[in-house]
Amino acid sequence: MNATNLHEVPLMFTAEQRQQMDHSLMRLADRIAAPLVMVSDVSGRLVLYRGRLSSAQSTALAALAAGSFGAGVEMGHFLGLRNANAFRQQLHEGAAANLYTLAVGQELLLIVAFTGQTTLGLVRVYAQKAQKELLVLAAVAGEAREKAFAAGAIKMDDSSEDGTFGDQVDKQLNDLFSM
Amino acid sequence: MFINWELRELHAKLVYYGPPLGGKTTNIEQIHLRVPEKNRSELVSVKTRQDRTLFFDFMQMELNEVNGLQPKFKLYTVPGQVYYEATRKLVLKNVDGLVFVADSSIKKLATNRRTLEDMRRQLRELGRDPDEIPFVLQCNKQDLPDAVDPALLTRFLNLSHAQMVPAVAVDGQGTIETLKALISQVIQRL
Repeated sequence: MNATNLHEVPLMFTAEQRQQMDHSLMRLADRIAAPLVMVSDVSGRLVLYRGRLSSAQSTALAALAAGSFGAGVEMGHFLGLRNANAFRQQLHEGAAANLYTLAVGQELLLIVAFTGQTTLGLVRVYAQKAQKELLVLAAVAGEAREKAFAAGAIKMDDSSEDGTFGDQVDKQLNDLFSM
Repeated sequence: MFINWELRELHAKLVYYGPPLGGKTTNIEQIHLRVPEKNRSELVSVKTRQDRTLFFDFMQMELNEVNGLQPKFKLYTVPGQVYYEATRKLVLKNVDGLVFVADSSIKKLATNRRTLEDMRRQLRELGRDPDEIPFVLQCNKQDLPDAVDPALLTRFLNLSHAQMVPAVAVDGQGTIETLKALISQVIQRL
């Protein structure tokens, strides 16, 4: 794939970076007894999650959280809050559980579910610690992306014995909807 | 669209856009009904009390690995009502493929055109060239007594160059064809 615009290419993390991210999330979850912690990008693409949801549920939650966060940022625009002053965190508060979202740079979101066992203050403190660790990973991934983009290295091999990628996707779609 | 080489996944964001009550949500609901459970996420809908889309509908459809990559398609709708413009623009961010669900009723011709123009303007405001994005026109509600002929509607919208699928989404007709046509175009970009 050749993207025409660097900003159309999301951050991608190596296996090692994902492991580090996983450690950060696990540490955060342990410290605040969070049933769920996840990182998504601002478009709602799930990057990594730790918790009690299925993969499909986490995917949907990431899309909704990113949409909700994006809506909050847009609301801030009407109050004159832009760029450095834009909303950077969001809280959904419930009787039994809460959801806290924190921006990690311009491209990622840290989403944390927590219960009444933990105070919001504690969640903020530990989430900000995790945010710093994630920012480092995002910066490294961002540099790698720039280099790969400059070198035009984002390509794929589109052929196999069974036909092109497109042919095989078409075949799978036909099979899927003929059931 | 992007490929996560570490996870061997290909992700694409497909958005259903169109005038209010044109059948965008119905399209996604029909697709959700027809995709086996193991290949899809839940269908998430953020609706008003009147059952109208407030934010978006969302589902993910996954295929098996192809050439070592697992394709994952995220399907979104936008809310159609005029006053949700800001929300529509949010959903359009990083879109990889678009379906314009047109309402074929002759009474909706002007609304279709205005909504299409809004979509193109919003894409330009997001820094995207609307003509460079994979696109399918779906002429929905072909079962209406006052439905305009799909070819005529296509010409009216100045979309003669676009791939067009006639549909009756409420019965599922044309919904899968539309999705397949869009995915085919998106994949051709690889």
